[in-house]
Amino acid sequence: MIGDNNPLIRALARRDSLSSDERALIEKWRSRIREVPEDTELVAEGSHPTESCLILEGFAARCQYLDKGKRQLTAIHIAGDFVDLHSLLLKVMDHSVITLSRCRVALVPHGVLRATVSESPHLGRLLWLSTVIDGAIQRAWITCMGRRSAHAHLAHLICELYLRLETVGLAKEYTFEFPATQTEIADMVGLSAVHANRMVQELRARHLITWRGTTITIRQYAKLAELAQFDPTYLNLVNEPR
Amino acid sequence: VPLYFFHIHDGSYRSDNVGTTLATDHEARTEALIAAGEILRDLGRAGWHGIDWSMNVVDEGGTRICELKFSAHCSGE
Repeated sequence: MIGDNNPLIRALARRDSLSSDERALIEKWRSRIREVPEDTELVAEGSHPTESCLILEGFAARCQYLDKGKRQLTAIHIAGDFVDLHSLLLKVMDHSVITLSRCRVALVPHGVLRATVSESPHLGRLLWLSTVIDGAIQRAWITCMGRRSAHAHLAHLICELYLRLETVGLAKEYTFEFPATQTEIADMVGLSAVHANRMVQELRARHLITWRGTTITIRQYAKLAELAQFDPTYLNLVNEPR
Repeated sequence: VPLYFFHIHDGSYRSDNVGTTLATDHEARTEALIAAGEILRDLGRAGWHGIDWSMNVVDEGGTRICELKFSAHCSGE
């Protein structure tokens, strides 16, 4: 079908059926492509974007900066994610988006998105769905950050990444690429690098995962999910009319 | 960038074989204090048990940068 190699179409088609006209509309969004190196700001805090950025390849993160170089990564974005779809409505960005790896992105003018929503209310709802799922992921992250122990939090993050990457065809046999540094992982889970590193070692020592370079393999998914008390409902990976 | 190792005793010895890169000894001490707080919070989440806990921070040359200690015991123990 049209767009089976388009990660956004894969992500949406997992959650609802798309007509060939809708697939063709989404395919048109891939007309302006940009290659972005790693550790580059894709969208700046305080900016007023006139286009939204769809990741086709690579990893990005939403980021809020504190003083003395401290920061919190508030979301991870993968292929098929619009990193700043909300800028269509919010206008001014209250956070930045940075690349964690080299990224290939499509820049979709807000005028094109508005026209799509008018032409296809169903696609409009699916774009709305994607921001609603972003919100659901943020809730899960807040709960992890506030109430889970560090090893359960890290296990939760790995389960979530696996399911999201698997949805867009980027995880196979419980193995996926995740090019994040020690510091970036600590900034995602809101812990010191020391404790975050210890938790990676602990999950390895318990034979739940292997993590070599940028490749993670989940060796015992059921046990990892149990440790994390991971319930994937919030990712809405169910195909139904929306 | 210097590498520091954060070894922990909590009844058994948990050696840090990976280390963490930090800019200065001062930053390593600050990081140790923050990490200790996080580790104690997780110990508390696992339920009360008496502990004698310590963390030794050493640099790549094996020089000790700081030591942190914590103990928790029921009254009368």
